[in-house]
Amino acid sequence: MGTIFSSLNVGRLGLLAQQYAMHVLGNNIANVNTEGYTRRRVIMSPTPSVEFGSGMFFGTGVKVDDVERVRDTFLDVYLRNELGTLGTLDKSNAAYKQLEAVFNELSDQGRSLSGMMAEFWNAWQTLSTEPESPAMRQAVVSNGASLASTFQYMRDRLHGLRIDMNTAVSTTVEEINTLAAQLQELNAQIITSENEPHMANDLRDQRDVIIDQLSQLAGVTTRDFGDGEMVVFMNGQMLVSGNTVRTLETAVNADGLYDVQWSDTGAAADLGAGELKGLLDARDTTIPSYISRVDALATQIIKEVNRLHSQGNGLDLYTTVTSGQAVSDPDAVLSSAAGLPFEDEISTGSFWLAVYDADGTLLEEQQISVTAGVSTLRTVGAEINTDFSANGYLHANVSYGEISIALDTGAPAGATFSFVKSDGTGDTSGLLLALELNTFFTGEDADTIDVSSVIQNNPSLVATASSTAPGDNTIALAIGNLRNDTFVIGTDPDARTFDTYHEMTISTLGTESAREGSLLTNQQNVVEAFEQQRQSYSGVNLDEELAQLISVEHAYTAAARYITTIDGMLDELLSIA
Amino acid sequence: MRVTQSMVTGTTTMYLMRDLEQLQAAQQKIATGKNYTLPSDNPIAATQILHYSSRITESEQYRRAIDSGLAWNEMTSSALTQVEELLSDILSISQAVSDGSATSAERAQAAGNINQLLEELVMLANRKFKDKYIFGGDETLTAPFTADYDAAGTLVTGVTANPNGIDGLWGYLVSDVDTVTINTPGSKVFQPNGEGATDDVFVILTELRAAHENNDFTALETQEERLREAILHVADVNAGVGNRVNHLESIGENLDAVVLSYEAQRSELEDADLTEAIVEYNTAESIYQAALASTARILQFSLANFI
Repeated sequence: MGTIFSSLNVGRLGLLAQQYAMHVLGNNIANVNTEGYTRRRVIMSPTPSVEFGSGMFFGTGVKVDDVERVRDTFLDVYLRNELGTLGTLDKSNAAYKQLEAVFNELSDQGRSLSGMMAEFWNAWQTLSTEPESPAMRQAVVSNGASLASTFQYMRDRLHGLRIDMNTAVSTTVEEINTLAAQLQELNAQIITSENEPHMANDLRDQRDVIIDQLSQLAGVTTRDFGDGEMVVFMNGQMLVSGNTVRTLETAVNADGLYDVQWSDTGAAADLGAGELKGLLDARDTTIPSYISRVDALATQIIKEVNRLHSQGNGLDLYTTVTSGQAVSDPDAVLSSAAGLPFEDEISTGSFWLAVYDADGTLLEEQQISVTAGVSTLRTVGAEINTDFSANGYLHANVSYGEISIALDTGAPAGATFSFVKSDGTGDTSGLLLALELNTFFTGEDADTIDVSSVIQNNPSLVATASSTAPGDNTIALAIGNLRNDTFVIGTDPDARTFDTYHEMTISTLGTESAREGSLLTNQQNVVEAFEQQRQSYSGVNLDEELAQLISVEHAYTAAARYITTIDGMLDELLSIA
Repeated sequence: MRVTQSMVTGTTTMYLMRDLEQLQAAQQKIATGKNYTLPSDNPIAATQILHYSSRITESEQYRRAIDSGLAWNEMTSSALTQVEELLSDILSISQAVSDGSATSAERAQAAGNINQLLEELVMLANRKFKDKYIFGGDETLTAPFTADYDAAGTLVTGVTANPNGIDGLWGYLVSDVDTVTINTPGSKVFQPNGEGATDDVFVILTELRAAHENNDFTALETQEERLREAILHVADVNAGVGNRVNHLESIGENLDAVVLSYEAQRSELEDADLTEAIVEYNTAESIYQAALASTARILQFSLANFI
């Protein structure tokens, strides 16, 4: 049997251990609302027993082995996988919501693209009932301009969305770099401060929070080698390991947008999940697919309206006109090498030039032939000049890649000319459409579409007729009826009307947006479930801590009472003397 | 399962948010009167709503074209009726003096009347509607007929048609598939076989007047017969215009029915049922209130209150 003082020491160790336990409880309670805090538990074990000669072993008290974090690392791995997907979905969902706002189809049908298209065709049909009316011509021009500005506005907004996403890419890359650097620092601190088997709990909590954030941003995976170091990979590529932390950087690509690459190798960063991937997907895939649909629609409308318009006469005919599109080289073959946006429309055929006197009587008309693969702007200009050389009514001039056709010195006062033969035959070569001569629209897509300035300045040039009779509405009728014709628009496999093509766009947008929305909700639920599980395991429950508090308090009181009792025994012992 | 304080706070806030979101959605439905505000709310319905809206706007345009075509044809018909009456008047004036009992002076008087009515007929043939010549073909801004006078400027020697042509036809698009011819060209009414042909109404009338002046009974008989045929021809043309009016009206009625059904279908999809929306709102409100009340209570409990 040991001395009475060793019994006193048992009491002392008990007091000390309970005080530690109380301290940890207090710390848990204090951190009940701290993000990423893992509850701690004190691990106690008895101190080694001592044999007091009699062959019996007596305990010597209690010691605190460790303050342990209550954490399930498997849950962390599961949760982080889901966080990456959540990040991707979150960003792509935001992009879809903004796309829907740009198309704005249900809340404001009057100002939306479908509404503008309907008004535009209506204006043409109204003009077909009153081809003589200047007011109806003006209405067609203003409705055309509204349609063009709606296209431009949508293109601008869609492009703006891409730029917003691009800015977010750059800030997200910065964020990832900062977090990776912090992580590397924490790795180093944890390795130096940990002293087996004791863990640097607070540093590990901090590191777990950072890894969670990185998972959501970049979809990272981790490897714990057990020596306190956490190696982090981004879709299989090492991000943080040992003393090295690799950084990402942005490089401006050909589109003026940021590419994400590794600073050290310059290789493109391959992203598996996370917000950054969501942003890049939205910027490079989702939004461009809608831009190209809007562009394709605008292109087709420009092409079809101009094709008919270039074959018609307005109330006024021309005295001079210059092509709206310029070629890159007047000696280049028009149908393939001159850089015209609608060069594919040029085929072998011909167009007409007819000169009328002030009374509207035909003076001269000439057929100008166009051969695909051969004709250049210069040969076309030369043919016009040769054909009209006898009377000197018309003259064509080619300069700066543009062709100007104007009345020449031989033309009587008040003469005008048209691009339609007196019997109504129009352009069969598509050259007028490609060069923008006698066309309604100018431009080639949603970005560049506008009503031709020639038409804007003189709405009487809006072509309604295939003859020179003011009441002839053939062309206006045909343009007004384009809304019921079907075309293969853009990369669409089937021929559709403009309306149904746009409806398809909206229906695709709605379906995809709804799908992304429900995927996001599901993913939020999954993440929520994992977070609940993790919280359930690692979080602080106040009632539990309070119950522990009472138990520890009682243990402390009992240990103190034990010391008092031993003290009493000592007193007894001393009083013998 | 172990439940922690932050779980309780987290989940209750989350559910409160969801309840509030539902409440807001229900409120939005009532405030906008619409079931859907974004295509993703219901992609199929959204596409249909768009489709119906475009069809309705388009149909309204067709309706306007039909109304305008109807007005034009009613005007044409009334002009044709007047032409018919005028020609009948001329015929009766002529017939009154065409037998042997009438004197030369009476016939000369009739010739004068015929000349006057011929001038009236030219004016009628040059009638305008909405600033357009009704019988001008597609040369709507030029008078289709010009009367030529003798040296004294009193007798109409002949009537010339606009050299640019008065036979142009033009039509309106009255549905997505139908283009209906709207005008009745002057040539068809007054010169079915061209200017100067024997059935040219103006030729018949000048000849008839000449026959009276010249007391030429053979010519008188021939021209009166031709005039009778011309009246029948104008009546025929007028009947054709009447048929066209009926045709346009029936297209218009079909169109109205189609628009009505489009509007009904769009409304079915688009417009919120207010009763339903308010019930939805009330439900969402009750749920939200209950959630708030229970949240407020559960957050108060703690073991600390009892130790």
